[in-house]
Amino acid sequence: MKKIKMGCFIGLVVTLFSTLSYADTITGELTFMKKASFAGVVYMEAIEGYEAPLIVGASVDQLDKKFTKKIVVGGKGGAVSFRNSDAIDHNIYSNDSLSGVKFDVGLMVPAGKKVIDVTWEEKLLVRYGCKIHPKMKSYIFTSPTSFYQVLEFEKKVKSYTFVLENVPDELTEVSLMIPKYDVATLKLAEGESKEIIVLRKGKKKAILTVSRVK
Amino acid sequence: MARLSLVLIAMVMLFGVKAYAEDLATPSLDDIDYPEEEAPSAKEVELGKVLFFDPRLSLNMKQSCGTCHNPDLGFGDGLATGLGTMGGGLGRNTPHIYNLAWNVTFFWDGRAGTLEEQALGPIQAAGEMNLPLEKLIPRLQAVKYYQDTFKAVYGDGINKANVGKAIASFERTLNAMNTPFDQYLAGDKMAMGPEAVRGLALFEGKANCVACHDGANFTDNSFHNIGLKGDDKGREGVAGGKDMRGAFKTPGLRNVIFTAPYMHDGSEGSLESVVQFYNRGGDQDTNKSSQIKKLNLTEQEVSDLVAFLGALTDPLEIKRPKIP
Repeated sequence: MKKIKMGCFIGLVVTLFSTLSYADTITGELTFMKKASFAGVVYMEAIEGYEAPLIVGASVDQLDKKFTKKIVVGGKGGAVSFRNSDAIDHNIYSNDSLSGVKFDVGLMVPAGKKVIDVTWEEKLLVRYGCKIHPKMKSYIFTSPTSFYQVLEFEKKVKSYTFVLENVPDELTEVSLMIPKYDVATLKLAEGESKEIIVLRKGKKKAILTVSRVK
Repeated sequence: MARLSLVLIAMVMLFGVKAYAEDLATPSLDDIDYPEEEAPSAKEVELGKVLFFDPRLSLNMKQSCGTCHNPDLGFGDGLATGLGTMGGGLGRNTPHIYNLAWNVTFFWDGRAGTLEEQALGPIQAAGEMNLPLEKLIPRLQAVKYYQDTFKAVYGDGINKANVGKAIASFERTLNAMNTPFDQYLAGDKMAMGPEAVRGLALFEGKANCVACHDGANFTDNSFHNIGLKGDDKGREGVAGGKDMRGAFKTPGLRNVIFTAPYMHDGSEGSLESVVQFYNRGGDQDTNKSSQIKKLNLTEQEVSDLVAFLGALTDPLEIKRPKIP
């Protein structure tokens, strides 16, 4: 029964993708006006009828009392695995009031592994942390498509570039999501370049420039 | 490969595994995560300072934030456990508020995730200042200074959120950053005496204080059960999990010499008695952190550690504002 379901799913994905042409490259630059934020993710928005392929292999480690990724990208229906490579206990949990997502993997001893299922909606940036070490923070992003790039910011670096390759012609909207910022979205046709001001609570924080080429 | 694994296991058994500790350092203002991603204006800080010292923030107008967080007493009250505005006793020691700008969790049990949230907590807590915020707002609105300044700083005037923002903005300026230890780190090898230099070596070495008191502010911002007697649930009461029972936040150590008595219950009256507590490996073992072990420090080493803690001192002169 499971095999039949999986077969149907793959068939559906193949059918959808056969109608989409992989051709364009999206490039861009994000420049903060002052200090950079924590992290962000650039991604292509889905269109009606678009079925994102399952994003597999999302994983994060805990090392030196830090998560090894500032944002890990998973897909709805997928999973994220956590590992503890520290010599001390950790306890990953989320109680994110903005997204409404809650989970708690319980105590993770050194070398421990835990997996959580991504059951929540797409396009959410869910904050999670360690119950024992509150300074540790990271986010899970549920991407609506498989075209995305995570940008890990450093406070003293203002500019960041990104490239999304083999983007189907039909996917025309590119978005930038940064925790606590307004989502910035641009619609781009082939050959176009556009710029948008990135806002946080209505204040100008950064400039996003994006280009699309064949 | 199997032989290598055995060797590694044997090494771990022989020497143990030390938890990662951030380097001790001088805090940088660039590393503060301001909620608005930029430092507050001088006017906002001043507004917060006035609010901090204004007794209007308590029900009977007898207690301000600065009553318990008294700058003349290391932003504490000198008592083992605090007192509320109605005279009732509180269950925990009044924590100092030095260098909170870099903190990520507040109160002994970490129940507040921001300094703004923390600032509003004691005002409305029944046992503390006992003033519902709904009553505080009209009190402030009756004062022209507050009307004008809230409007000028925030645009939308006096509300609960802005009261929290203003107090937090002031608290983020209470930073000890130029201690003898910082001068020593910057290259002035005469800034600390030989006792303190030996204490630093012990702090990072034999005594392994850095397992918890690490980084620029000497705190891992984490929760540990250090083996104090008592039945306070600590972090468990907020986050759940029996492994969190009796665990409390690691306090930062900058200006620690001013902040006696120590521990979440105020049970240790001096820095020497604190070091002696750790030297004997705590006073009870139930749920105690594996980091707390007997240290076998000599009396001289205890004195050296205390000397080093004394070198983390940078007195802040706070002039109390005129209350409008």
